[in-house]
Amino acid sequence: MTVILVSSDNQDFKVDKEVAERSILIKNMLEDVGESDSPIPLPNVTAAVLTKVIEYCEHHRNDPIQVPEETDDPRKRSNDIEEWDMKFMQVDQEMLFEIILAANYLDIKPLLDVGCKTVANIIKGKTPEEIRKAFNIVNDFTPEEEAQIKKENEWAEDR
Amino acid sequence: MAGILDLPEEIRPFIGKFLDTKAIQACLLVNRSFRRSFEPILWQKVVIRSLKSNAISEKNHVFVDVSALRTRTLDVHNYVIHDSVASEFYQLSFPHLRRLQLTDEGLNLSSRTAKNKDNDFLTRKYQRQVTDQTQLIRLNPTTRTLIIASLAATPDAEFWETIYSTWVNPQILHATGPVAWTEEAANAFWKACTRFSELSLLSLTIESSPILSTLTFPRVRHLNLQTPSIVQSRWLKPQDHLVLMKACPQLKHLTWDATALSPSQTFAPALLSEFRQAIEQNHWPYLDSLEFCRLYNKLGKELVLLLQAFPNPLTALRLKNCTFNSRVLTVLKDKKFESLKILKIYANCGITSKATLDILTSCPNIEVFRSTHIYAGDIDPSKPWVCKRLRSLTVCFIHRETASNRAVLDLQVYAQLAKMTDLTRLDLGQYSMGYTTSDPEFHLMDAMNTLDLRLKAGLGQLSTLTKLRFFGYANSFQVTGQAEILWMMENWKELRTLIGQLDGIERSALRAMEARGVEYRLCGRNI
Repeated sequence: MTVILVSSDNQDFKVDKEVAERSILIKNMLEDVGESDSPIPLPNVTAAVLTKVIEYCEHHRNDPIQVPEETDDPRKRSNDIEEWDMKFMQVDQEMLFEIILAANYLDIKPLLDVGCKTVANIIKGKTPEEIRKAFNIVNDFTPEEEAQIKKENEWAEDR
Repeated sequence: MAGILDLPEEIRPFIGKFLDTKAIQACLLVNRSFRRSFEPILWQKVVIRSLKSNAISEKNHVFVDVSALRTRTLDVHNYVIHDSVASEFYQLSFPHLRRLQLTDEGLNLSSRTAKNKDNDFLTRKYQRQVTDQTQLIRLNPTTRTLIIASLAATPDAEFWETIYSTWVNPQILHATGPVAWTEEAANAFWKACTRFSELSLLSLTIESSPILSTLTFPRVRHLNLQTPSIVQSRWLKPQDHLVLMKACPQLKHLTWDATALSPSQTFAPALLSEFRQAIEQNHWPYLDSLEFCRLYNKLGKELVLLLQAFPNPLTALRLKNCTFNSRVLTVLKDKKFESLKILKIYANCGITSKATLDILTSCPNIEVFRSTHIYAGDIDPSKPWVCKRLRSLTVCFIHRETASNRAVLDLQVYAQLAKMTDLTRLDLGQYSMGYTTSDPEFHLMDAMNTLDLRLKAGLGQLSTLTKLRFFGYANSFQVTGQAEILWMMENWKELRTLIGQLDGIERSALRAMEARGVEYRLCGRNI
């Protein structure tokens, strides 16, 4: 069975129901709507991003559904991204953030995790100035503020 | 849209949970928006140390400012106090606290086993801290995990009573060392234990409690009991272990580490017999996972009887310093192999190479298997391994000194390993101590003749292990080199951890490992 997803710029995407239901948002919508054929509008997702999201869901269509984790594991590793996912995430920054936003809106937790891990890997090992350069951010601290922050948070040990 | 600053506030914690402390500290200095998003993550785990803690000898230890901490209580999920610290650190309520740890590294045990007179002196000395600790417990009833270890300021009755009557949903209790010095405190301790679902009681010293035998622990599914390595006054006696175990009807997993139950102790056989009888009567209908340490050494017969008596399917069995002889293997094969998914035999159990191979060639559903060693010459190519679902294997492949055709034997090992395509973890490291009286077969000299791990010896056959995430060979006297590393990166796409000695590695191989995010260590942690 197929469903039709409509991007914010009015492009139609025909997708297998099983693939579309990797998005919990869409899954719930389909349950509410029942046997209707009407296309599902996604006003927050452009065609370019939706293409990528569907590509991800297609590849992972047979993955087991993740159980939400209750325990707070502080040693969450970000270096365990699968080979295919790593290649999938080799996009420019703008697309990367669009994918994260879409994964959040559509409630696709594994994709959200992969996106966030990718961003985390960009941040890791960099000084504040390097992080600013990586994301085109302007420093809005005064030198006094910077000194104060450093002092207040120096104590933190490894998580 | 512009970039990372446009991500809504609620998504930034999702990124934060993958960052280490250094990365978060760097993020705090990027700009104000970043600081707002990431500062709460830094405060999720707070560790407070006192001046006399051993860790202070490290340079640049910085103390947490208590007034800053007071503004951050909503962020704290994990609160750790080492030693005795200022009262103010105990007068804090953390609405989202999940884990609380109180430890005292400076405890001198002998001082607490002194006569009553000295006991009163010590009680007065630590009274403030005891009261403070109780206050902390009172202010944090949502805590799920409590860890206490070696507390010189041993909790009083009120501490345990508060947990028992006010904590909302406690789950895990890890207690090491002294937990109660008076009968009143001991009674309250056991009552508090009835609220938890997982109990780890290690080297417990506790006053005798008359009510222990009257209590039930209805929530406990996971029980870990360990006696101290030297007998002390007020230790939790092994007889009480059994009383406690019998009071846990929902028990699913049992770890029993009891040095003191060596055959030289007169009560040992009677106790193990009582344990076995309870098993026979199906006292624990949900019990399917057992771990014994120093319990059946030289009492292999007892272990055989126990496994024979075990009425239900056994899913997991772990043995350390327990006799694993051919009779034990026979009983397992006869009754338990169908259900067994996890089997771990550590050093000093006396398991032979042939027995290890027997398990691999006849236990169909095993997923995690650990043994000490396999002599490559014992492998019979006509007897393939039946464990198709094997995902984790820890064993050291070695050659007898007399083996003359090592190259051929190595190829046989690789041919067999290559068929285990579900493996995610392969550890060929050497963790046993070599020749001991408990491991008579395993000679230290043989441990130096381990499986050759180079491509030219046959490593290439393992290209079939496409799911491999962990590969280790610590202490195996083997090295891998440039060619092997590049081959691993090419063929084991999911590899994320590598442990063992490298030699002759060039920058290109190191870069390949870094790009993949492979974590490399020379030696494993004590696994």
